[in-house]
Amino acid sequence: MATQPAAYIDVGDQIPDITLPSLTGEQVSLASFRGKKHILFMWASW
Amino acid sequence: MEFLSIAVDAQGPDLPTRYTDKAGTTFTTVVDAENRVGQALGCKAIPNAVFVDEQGTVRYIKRGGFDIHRPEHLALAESWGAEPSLDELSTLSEAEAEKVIKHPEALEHFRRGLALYQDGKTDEAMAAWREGVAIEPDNFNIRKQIWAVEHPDKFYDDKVDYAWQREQMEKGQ
Repeated sequence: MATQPAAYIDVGDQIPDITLPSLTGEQVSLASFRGKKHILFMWASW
Repeated sequence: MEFLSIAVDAQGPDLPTRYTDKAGTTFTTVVDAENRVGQALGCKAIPNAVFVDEQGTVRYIKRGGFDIHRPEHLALAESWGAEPSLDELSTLSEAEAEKVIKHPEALEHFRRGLALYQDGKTDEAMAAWREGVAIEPDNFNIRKQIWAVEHPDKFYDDKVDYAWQREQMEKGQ
């Protein structure tokens, strides 16, 4: 298979619609924030 | 402005829950055990911040080293949040809009640009704003839309570069 450069989401692109579980168990979709300015902050406890 | 905290914790919610309980956070935290968001965005490490506008378009990514507890990063997030949103700008009342942009034709170009930008037609939006600037060259509000598209680094990279903005105005860019 031909190696292609990885295509990442970057400035100017649409945020992908990924759904993740919240700490309290609800499913939260990134697309549900559309219509509002928002900041995603990625961190870890370790 | 909304804030979504994404804990990239492979072991699930237990550890991040301890942190958020201790910190008394009010925003939602989700767990991304497989680092799906990080992979999509090409983030190799943490912590990261991604600023997303109303249209779901990524406007700024800080890959690594973003710390909301650092005053400059908090200020960056707050200044971005406090900027009038495109929705707010496009729904200004006539009276408010006339205060912001004096020349009616320039205002028309400004609004047309916003509508095009919201449709994802960035090039056409830029052309409309440039027509507005041609009519009202010293209008900061129209120029700022162009700058934000052309030079996002001057807006969101650690600080809003007001000195740069003043310089652009002086140079008539």
